[in-house]
Amino acid sequence: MTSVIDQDQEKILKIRGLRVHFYTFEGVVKALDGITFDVFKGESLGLVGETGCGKSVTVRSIMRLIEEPGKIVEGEIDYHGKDILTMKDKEVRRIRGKKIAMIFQDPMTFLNPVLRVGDQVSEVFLLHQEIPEAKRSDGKIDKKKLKGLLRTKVTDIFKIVRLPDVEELYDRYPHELSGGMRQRVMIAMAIASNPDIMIADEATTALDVTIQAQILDLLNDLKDELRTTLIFVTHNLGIIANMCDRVIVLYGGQIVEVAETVELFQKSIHPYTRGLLKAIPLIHRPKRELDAISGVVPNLVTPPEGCRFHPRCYMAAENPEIKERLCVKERPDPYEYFPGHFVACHVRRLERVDEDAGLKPETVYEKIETQ
Amino acid sequence: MKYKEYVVKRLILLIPVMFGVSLLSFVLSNAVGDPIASYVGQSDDKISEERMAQLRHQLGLDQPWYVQYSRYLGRLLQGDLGESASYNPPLPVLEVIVIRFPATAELSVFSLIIAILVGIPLGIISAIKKDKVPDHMSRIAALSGVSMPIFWLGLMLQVVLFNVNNVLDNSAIGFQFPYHERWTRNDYPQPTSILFGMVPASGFMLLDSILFLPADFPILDSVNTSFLMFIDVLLHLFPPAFCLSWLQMALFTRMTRMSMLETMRQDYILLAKSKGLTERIIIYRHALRNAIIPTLTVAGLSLAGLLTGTVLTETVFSWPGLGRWAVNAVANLDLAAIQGFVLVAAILYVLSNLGVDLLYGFIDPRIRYD
Amino acid sequence: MQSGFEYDVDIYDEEIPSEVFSFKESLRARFRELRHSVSLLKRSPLFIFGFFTIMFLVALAVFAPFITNFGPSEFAIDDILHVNYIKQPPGWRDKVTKQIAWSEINDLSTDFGIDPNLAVRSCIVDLNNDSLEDILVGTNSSQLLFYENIGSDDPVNPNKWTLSSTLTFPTIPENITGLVSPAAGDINNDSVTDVVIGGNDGKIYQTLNNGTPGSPEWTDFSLMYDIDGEELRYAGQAHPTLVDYNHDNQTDLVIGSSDYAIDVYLWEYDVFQRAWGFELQSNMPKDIKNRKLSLDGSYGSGGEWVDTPLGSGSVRVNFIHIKPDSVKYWDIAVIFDSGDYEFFTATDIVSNPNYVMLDKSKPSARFDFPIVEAEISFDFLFYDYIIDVSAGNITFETEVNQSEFIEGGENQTEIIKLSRLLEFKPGGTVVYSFQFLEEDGRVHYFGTDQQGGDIYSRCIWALQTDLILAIWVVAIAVVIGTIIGAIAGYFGGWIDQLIMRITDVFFAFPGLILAMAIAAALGRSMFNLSIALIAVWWAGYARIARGQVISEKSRLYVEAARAVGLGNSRIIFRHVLPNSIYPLLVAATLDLGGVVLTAAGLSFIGFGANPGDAELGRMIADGRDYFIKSPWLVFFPGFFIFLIVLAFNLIGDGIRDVMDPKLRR
Repeated sequence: MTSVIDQDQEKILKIRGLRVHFYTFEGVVKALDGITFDVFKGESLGLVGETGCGKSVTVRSIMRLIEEPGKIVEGEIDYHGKDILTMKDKEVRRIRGKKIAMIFQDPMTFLNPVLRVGDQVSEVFLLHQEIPEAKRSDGKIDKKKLKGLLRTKVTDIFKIVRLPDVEELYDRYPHELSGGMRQRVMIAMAIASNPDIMIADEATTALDVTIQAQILDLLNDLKDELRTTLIFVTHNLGIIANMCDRVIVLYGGQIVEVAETVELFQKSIHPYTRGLLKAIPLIHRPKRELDAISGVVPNLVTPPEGCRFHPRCYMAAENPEIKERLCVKERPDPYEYFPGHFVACHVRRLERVDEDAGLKPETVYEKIETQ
Repeated sequence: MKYKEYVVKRLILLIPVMFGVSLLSFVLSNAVGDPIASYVGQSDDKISEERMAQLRHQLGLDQPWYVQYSRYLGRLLQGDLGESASYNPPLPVLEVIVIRFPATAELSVFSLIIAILVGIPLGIISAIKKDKVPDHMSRIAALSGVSMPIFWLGLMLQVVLFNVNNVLDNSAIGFQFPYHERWTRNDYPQPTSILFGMVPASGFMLLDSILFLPADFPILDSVNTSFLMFIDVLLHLFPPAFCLSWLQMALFTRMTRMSMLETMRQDYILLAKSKGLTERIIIYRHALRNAIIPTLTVAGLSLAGLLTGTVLTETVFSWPGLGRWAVNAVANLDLAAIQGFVLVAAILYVLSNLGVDLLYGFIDPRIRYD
Repeated sequence: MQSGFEYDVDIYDEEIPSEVFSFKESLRARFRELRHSVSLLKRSPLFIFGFFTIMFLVALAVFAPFITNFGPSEFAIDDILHVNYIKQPPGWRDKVTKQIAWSEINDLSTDFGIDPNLAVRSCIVDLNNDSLEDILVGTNSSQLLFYENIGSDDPVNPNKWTLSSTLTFPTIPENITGLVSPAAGDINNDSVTDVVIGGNDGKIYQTLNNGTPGSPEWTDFSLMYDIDGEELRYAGQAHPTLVDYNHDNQTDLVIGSSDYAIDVYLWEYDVFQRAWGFELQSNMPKDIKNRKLSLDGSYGSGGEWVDTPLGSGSVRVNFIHIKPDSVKYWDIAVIFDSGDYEFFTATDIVSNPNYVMLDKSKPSARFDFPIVEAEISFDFLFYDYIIDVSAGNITFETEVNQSEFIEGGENQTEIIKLSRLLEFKPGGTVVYSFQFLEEDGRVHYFGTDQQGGDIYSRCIWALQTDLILAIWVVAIAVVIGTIIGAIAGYFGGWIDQLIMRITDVFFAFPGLILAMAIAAALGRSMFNLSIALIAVWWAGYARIARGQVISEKSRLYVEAARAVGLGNSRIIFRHVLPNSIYPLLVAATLDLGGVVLTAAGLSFIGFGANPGDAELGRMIADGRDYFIKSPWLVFFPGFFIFLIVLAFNLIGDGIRDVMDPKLRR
């Protein structure tokens, strides 16, 4: 199911130097610190990292949904040659929901409790689709007819996301539905206007495991049917493994590693990614100690200088000289370690440089345990 | 089913509270001076000791307190609250309450309406324009509202109206703002309707003035009279109601603003935005409906503030309602009236709190009762 | 799909619980929290503003002795006013109702010995200050005659008049060739009676008395001018009346004229001028203001009658108190030369009354006026008399007011006099003034009050009183509430249930009403007021303390203390309470404003402070009788209340912002 992405493929989104700050009582939280990546058309891209690493902030900035006290300080998000960040509000609204749609994490809190679910879905049609059938001969809109048309459209889309009893469902309120049904309603909302890009922001985290599998199945199928691009935000590496072609690993508001899924799982390079993978409990292995990464997530009000990971990095600890010289001072830039595989790590970059020079090749590649 | 159980439970919990309230009001009113003196009237009235003792015995004041209290409770249950000596001849307290309650209720309800009509939109504007000029203005207004001594506001309002009145009068516009009641409740006309004949006065002047259609007049004149009366009553009602509503207005503004902001932070608003909806639709369709529920529910809670407010406002504006009666009763050592008023206030307060709780459960079915 | 399990990397996310194991560590954690909150508060502008306002007010209160010019109960002109407050005994109540009955008209013309061919206008005044009413008569041969009352104590016929030869008036101006309408009153505030006459030339003349009441020295008659410097002039005969129309202790001039206009000239003074600075030797002061007296329904805005009045000829006005319960208002009789009259009774506030026409035949007015139709004219006079003057016939009526006392259900009839209009006592009537400089050079920043107290100084002293009251009330309420709440929370069970039911009862009353009932039960004093407020506020703290203790007592260090065998009281007071005190202090700070507001409100409706005390609410209550004309009496104390409460609310808002985790994000 995974395939190597052709580098010449069309880039649907180009994100350059994205920087987002949150101005809180405690101080300025530098939630995103210069994020740069591309999204290719038709791929499914995974964003992974711990809570608070900036995954959700990244995808929300794509739709310009950063709320007070947050602010996009810097950066560029290129969508079809236009920068979303400098667009007028009106243009952004035309993109939101129509071209780029989002599926949120918690289906309970993300549906408006006082509106019928059908009405909430029909808003998308009303907003983004011309409905010529509802127009009367004099050019005005026949409200009754419009209502009926919307209803059929909504029930149709409900059927696509495999919801049962679609007719009754239309008039239900969110709290009367189960978690899985609510999530399907949200997906229905997202696919209603047939978007170019679908963003699933922790779309399955709040669901239990069987429902999760169903929803993931559904998403996968929909992606193939609708030929959309899928950006999948999660902290669950298992989902990444199953869903995504390519993975971006975030740490403390910075990209640490970008790679194709298989490559990442087989030959991860950044010490943080390795830490993550080692911390996965494996079901077919005998019990063993999980290798937790030592230390705590950095406080983003006063993040560590240089590489944000260096206080917890074992590689930096092993190379005190590099750490003193680079890790604590300079921010590492992503370095194309293998074709299409970027790593932001001073130690690794230096090793690679050494290897290119024919020195110490064995330290470059270290087999890690995967399933 | 669960809701019903909850209601029953709340009602049962009311019983000890009301018992305590009656005990407290009994204790308090018995501590005010000598009941005999107040019963007899002027304290410099000379009454012989034997007569005093006889009176004491007649009134059961020589009994221990618990006997007196149980008698008091017994009378209370029969709806007998004693006689208010502030009136000459004394009137039964219950009757006084019935007579005077409409004035207070009219004032309170009218000011509640003003508060809702002004406070809620102000709160919404404030939330929408957060941290901009309108927000600062309405926040300052709200803060000044909760900090305002309303008796002072009432007096200042009278000064302002007086001066406006003078200016208008001198500039020969001739329009007079009324700032004081013109009719006392004793001598305002009985509503007589052409359609219904004599209608008993409800005591709500706004209502009565509409119903007042003197049958002897030609229809046009009588409607005109009725309309003029209505306007007159309205203009007289407005200053005290405005004064009373100031605090409530501030509370509503703050509450609406807070609940609006809270709602705007909710996840479903984010979803609505991600759908590409405009700010307007998001505010009026998605946010407002959710934000208004707590605000409206808590409107019931503000009855306590209104009751407290009426005591001061009615004193300042000489409004013939319960509050001024209570203040007079205390000055006149009118035991039964104090007891009656305190009881009524407590009952209204407790019931309104209960009502709010129950209403909340009714409006929002997501609430569970465990 | 093979995803049967989760790879959850969120394992670092779990916060290490700050569950502390020792009492000291727990305190330290609290302290850290506090320090953090304070550092956040420093960044909230509203809080900073509130904090500095409070600090400023507290500084004012603390340094009150050094920054005030006057003591809290120092009144500049107290001795002149003869103010003595009668403290009414509990149970006192005014049950006096008065009824006015008018008796028949007596013809007194023979007593006066006036030429029957003369038409006269009369006015009653105690011009020689002997407490007997004398009569000033103007005749249509341009004479001004003074009939002195030499009556005795004879209860049946107390009045006897004789034409005075000792008192002579200056020459009547040449312009007046006919009837003279006299009026007497103190128009220049020098405490001796002056005389104003209206002549048939339509002008008003005044003569001022520069002497003493015993031996008057009249200035020559001079024309009177209005505020714009124009002379007062009417088409025909003008009839002046001197009366304190707006109850500001200044004599105002009301003129009824032949064109049916009734003009009121209010004695006004510029707020930035000194009040006594009139230079009145020749002319009427400029500070007389012309306004039309609006008689409801019959007097239009344009200044002309809407309906043709009953009478014809000129119109005259007299002011009397008819309504027994409202001595504050003037009622007006408007008399036409035809002998007919209209009677108006005031229905509105003191200084700007609206008038409603009184039905002459309505019995409920308790007013039965003799209707004089045949006569050409008659006057209503100030006190208890009606005098009728018609072609030399003076009809005079005495003791027409009969008042009835109803006391304790028994009827007593007693003859009383209605209140006097003008008092010409030595020392004179006292005005309150908005003046900046007192004679001794001490400055009144906010002006003076009705007793000559300096409002600025009194506000500062009252601020002190109120702040001390609020802090005392909250402190005691916190202590009592905390102890009771801690006991409830620590022991639980039936004690808890009982205490919570008691607090329920206290919560069942709106605060002000409960405090009012308690304060009434205890009697009027500041201390009792504070008791009442404590009784209202303790229940809230009890609930907070209970909740805190319940959450605190499950902590490990309390278990440990119990395991070591410490006693209950020691555990509560040494270990549990110090950790719970923080939220209580926050709640207490938030409540200070409410306490000030409630205390001021209760003082305003008559609990707590006594009249004349320097307490903000009381000052407003004291100034209430005069506030329309002198808003500063009420404005400054009220503004101080507002400022205190606003500052506390700002602090409260700041704290709430910091406490609210949602806003903290």
